Amino acid sequence: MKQLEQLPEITERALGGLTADQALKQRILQQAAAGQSNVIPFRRKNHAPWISSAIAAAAVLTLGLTLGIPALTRPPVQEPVTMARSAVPSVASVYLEEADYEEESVIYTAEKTLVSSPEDTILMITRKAGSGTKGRERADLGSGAFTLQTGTSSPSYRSIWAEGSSGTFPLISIDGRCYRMLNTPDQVENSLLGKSLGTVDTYTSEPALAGNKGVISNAVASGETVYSVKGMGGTFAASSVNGATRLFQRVSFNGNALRGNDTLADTLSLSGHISGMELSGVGTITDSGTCEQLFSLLINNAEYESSGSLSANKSLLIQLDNGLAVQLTVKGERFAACGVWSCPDFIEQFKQAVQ
Amino acid sequence: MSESPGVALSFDELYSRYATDVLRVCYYYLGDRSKAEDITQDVFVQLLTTQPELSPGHEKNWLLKVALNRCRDHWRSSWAKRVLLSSDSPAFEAIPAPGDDMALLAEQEALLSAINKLAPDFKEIILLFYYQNYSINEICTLLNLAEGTVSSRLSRARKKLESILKGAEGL
Repeated sequence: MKQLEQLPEITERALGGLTADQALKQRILQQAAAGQSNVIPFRRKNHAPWISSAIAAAAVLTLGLTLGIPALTRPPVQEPVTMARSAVPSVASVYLEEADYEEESVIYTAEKTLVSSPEDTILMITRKAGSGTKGRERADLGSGAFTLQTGTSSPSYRSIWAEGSSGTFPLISIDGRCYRMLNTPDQVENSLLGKSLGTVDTYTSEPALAGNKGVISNAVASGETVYSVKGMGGTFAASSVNGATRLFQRVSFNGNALRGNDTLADTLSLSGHISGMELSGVGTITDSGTCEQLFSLLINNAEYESSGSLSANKSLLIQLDNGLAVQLTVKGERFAACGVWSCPDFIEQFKQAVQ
Repeated sequence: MSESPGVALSFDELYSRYATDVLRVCYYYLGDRSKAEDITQDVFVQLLTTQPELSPGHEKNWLLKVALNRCRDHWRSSWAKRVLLSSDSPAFEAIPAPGDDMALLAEQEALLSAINKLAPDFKEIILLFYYQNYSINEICTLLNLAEGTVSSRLSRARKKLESILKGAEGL
């Protein structure tokens, strides 16, 4: 039984592809946060640093507190506060952005308990049912709807793409038109779902090998219906993933970007629905009129470069009036969503608009 | 096996260091990836929600203990017996690389298959001793068993593996 002594090496060879990835970690944090909707007394005596960071991340994940949180350097307070129910940035950005939160008043009112410690800041939340609304009714928003970073002149990079458990991101392909899963919202409201685009014919972990016919996915089970999103043209698809209706954004994949007579406007059919824009490192615009003008500039002037993608650490996040958001990866004056596009004027105009 | 005692690890560090090991141990136990992920998820959720007091350097022991408990519970369920024991598909398959000794690869694959066929008690001991490199004493603490029981179980597990590999016994 000499080979037993080599079991670690043998395992690495046989199970090298079986690793605990970020997607699993996110599910863990979300599930933990779902069980943390009531205040948990903070046990300073037994405090382990990892608990505070993890629970902070988990609380933010569940309650979506990217905005509406008083500066975390304040002493412990007990006060009613308004906050937005919003999507979650990546876990890394939660840690980075803790110091950047500022109070905002938006959607509904909840009671909040804020606890801080000398070592780091922990946010423990008690949330009661919304006692009132401002602006949009809470029921209109998808669960975990997106909100912009405001109150900062240089919003940090964040991505709303969902990560995959293998080398390929979670996607749906409909006759070669590909859609990538977003991590916001975590449940698309039924009222946003449009017509059926088909049902998943093939579930495969290698969608690049499955061809361009029919409906293929590495995230949605075979037989599940894929829906359009009302008013959003070919920008989105939605379907059930692990029991929740998730949102997918049109992107390029495996050399497939535009198909047939598709234009950029077909893949980003957002005109008339834009409520805000956030360009990391540059700023955030919340005036819908300005955003619509900038978007029109982009759609009408962007030049198509390729069917590829960009590796970059900047993003243009576009908030929509239905609570959804889209992401374009940005590198210099180039953008990637469905294919790579160039539009120098957009960046210039955006910078002028935020000044 | 234990890490040196020192500063308590953050959740990120615990996940980064140990989640893959937990996942693979669960996979060895159950032979099903999605179930292994479910149990791994449960283990780390329990870590976050129950906030156990972990001795620095012994966090992995806690994680594996919880994982094995859950694997055992799952194994006992009618689902496991119906699905896993009746499954013909191999849980382990060594991917050959250029230049590999195919005979050696076949032996390794046979070993993994044989481990997969062990009863849960034997499988646990083999995994903890040979895969996770725990000592007998550490396994005693982890499984809450007497030293004699662990030693004897390990010896019987090895004999059982030999027997399976020689083809004398199947499932």
